[in-house]
Amino acid sequence: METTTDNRGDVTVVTVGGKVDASNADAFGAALTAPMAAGTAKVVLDCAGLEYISSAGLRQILGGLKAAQAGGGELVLASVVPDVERVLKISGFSKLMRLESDTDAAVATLA
Amino acid sequence: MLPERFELREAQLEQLPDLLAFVERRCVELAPDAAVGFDLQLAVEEVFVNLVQHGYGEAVAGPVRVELSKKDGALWVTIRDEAPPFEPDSAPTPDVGAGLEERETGGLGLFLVDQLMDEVRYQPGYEGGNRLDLIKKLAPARSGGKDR
Repeated sequence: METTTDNRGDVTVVTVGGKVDASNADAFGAALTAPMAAGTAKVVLDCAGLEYISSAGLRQILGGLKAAQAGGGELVLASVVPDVERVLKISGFSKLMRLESDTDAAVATLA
Repeated sequence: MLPERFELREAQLEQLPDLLAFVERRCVELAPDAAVGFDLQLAVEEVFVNLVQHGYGEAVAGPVRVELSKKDGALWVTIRDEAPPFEPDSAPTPDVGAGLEERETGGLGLFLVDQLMDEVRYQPGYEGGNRLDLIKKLAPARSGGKDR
């Protein structure tokens, strides 16, 4: 699991790749919420390389959503692969957040 | 011949990636054309994490044995431990319709197991521990099978 962070004006793009499971979910969550802690509550999570996520990772995404909203911003997911989207639907998470088909479009909606 | 069994004497979260790699390899070996690896890894993870965090708890690390085989047109995962008997009804059920403010995540892992597997058989107290069988049906080889 690797994450990178890229600032685009007042929107931060956090890119996650690999598998988020219970052994690395905390590290994923830290990367996801770092922008909010730094004062940028508009965050796009680029999930194009995210192959797998379990409840531990979903918990971190929920935390990220709450932190973004608390900061007056929003967390949007971009480029989610079909298996991950299916888990988001089953868990009811897809109703709590916006999913966009690509990162540039997601950034545009927040800027 | 790849090992059919994954065993740990002291199950810890750090070993989760090795367990998931085992599940993924066995799925490829037993059912290369069926897209079930994702679901099986997820279900096995949730059971394993529940065992480490709640079955054994923070203070203790105990054994787990995971076997994956193909039987009757399905993949079977059998997970055995030596933890106190686990009653699945004792776990909370998440409210998947709740809004963001109300949403909690307790019980989400075992809920996902239930949703992703075709059958889940809990046997608390089995041989001094617990036994859990996860069954995932494989689509028939000929066309005309069920949609996913």
